[in-house]
Amino acid sequence: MNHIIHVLEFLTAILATFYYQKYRNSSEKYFMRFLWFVFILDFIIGGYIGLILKTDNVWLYNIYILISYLFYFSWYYKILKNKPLKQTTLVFTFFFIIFDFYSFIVEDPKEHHINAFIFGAVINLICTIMFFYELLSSKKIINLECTLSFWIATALLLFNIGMIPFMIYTETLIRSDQKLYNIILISLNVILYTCYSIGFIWSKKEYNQH
Amino acid sequence: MEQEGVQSALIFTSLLILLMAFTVIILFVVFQNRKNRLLKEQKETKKRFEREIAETQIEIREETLRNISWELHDNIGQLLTLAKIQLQSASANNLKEVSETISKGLNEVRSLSKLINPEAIKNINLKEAVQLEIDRFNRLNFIDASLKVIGSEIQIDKKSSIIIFRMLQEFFSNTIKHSKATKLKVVLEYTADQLLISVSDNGIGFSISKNTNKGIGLQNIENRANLIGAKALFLSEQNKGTTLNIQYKL
Repeated sequence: MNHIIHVLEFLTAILATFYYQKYRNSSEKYFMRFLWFVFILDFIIGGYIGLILKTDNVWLYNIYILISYLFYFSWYYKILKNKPLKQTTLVFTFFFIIFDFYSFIVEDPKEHHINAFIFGAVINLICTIMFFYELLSSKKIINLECTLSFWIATALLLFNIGMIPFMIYTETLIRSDQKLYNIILISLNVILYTCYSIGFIWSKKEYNQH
Repeated sequence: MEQEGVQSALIFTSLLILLMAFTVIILFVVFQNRKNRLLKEQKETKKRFEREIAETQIEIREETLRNISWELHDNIGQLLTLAKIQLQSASANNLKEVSETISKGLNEVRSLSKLINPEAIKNINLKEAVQLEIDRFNRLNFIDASLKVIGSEIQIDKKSSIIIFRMLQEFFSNTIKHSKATKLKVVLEYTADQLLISVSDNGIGFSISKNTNKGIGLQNIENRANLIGAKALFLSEQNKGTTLNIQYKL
């Protein structure tokens, strides 16, 4: 079941590479490397260490979550134009780093940093809303469906809106219905990577200039 | 207990689906609304621009008609009257004078017919139009006018030409009517990315600080400049003349 997510990650990374020319001049250009990083870490390292070596790989995922959130925040910091909004992103990132380091020190290394994950998702959601707010007052809105940043932000919005209650509820869910847990997790990932893919396919080069 | 857990998990899932569907709908509606509004605004701006162009064209035409009427009455009419008087007291030796007066009148009629050409008003060429105006001022001895072109002439957008020409025309008529100036200088400077126009007279000028509520004419010129994305700047001092600088991005 979990392989579906790996396949999605792989396909999206392939699409990102295939359409790289479209967005190579924009702030989204780092997404290609990021998507490969996600795939390699999740599938090869995570999968290999977890399934074949049968060792504990939770610490790796905790680092992975830290890196990926920092990546998203820095992306939002780059694309936001309004000074106060930019600074807000910076302040939130700072809090997130402190929060996550605190989790590394205090929490059990064999446990997922659920609290840090939820906190990061909330910040991510706030950044997305700030970005949409800025987009609404700009002229880019006319060709919205052709801009990659819109699709990435939409993907993150939907993913995080689903992920936050899901993570809060996760322990009860795992205990009562493992299958449902998997279905929700996979569905959220399908939404995330579908939005990414639509963005890579549909966006046009002329609207992806920074 | 088991049953309850499953039930609450199902409730949770449906709420989650509802939440996400709601988000998608909100997102779509908000963005679609905003997009439609922006498109409508753009359409209206375009419409207003077109209307302004049409109005400006009419104004240019009116001004031309006024000039023609003036010339017919005060210039050509006077010459013909003079010829008539000369003919009434005609003798063998002053016939040459009469002929001179009449040919002067003919010349005036010819240059006037150039002005009336409707094609010239419709497809305005900025440099030629300004040149015609300046020639007219010199011919009628209104003012000592000159035109200088720096750089090679670049054809600019027809609609912008109409607006710019009307701005200049308004400045000229202010200069002639109110400023008591004796000299009028126009400089068109074409650079790689912009057209700089500088018009100056040596008339009585006005003090900018006194005219806090700018005269309608000045306000008009500035509004017109905004319309085509140009910048208009007045420089004036009492008794030292007035200068208008227009900066138009090509």
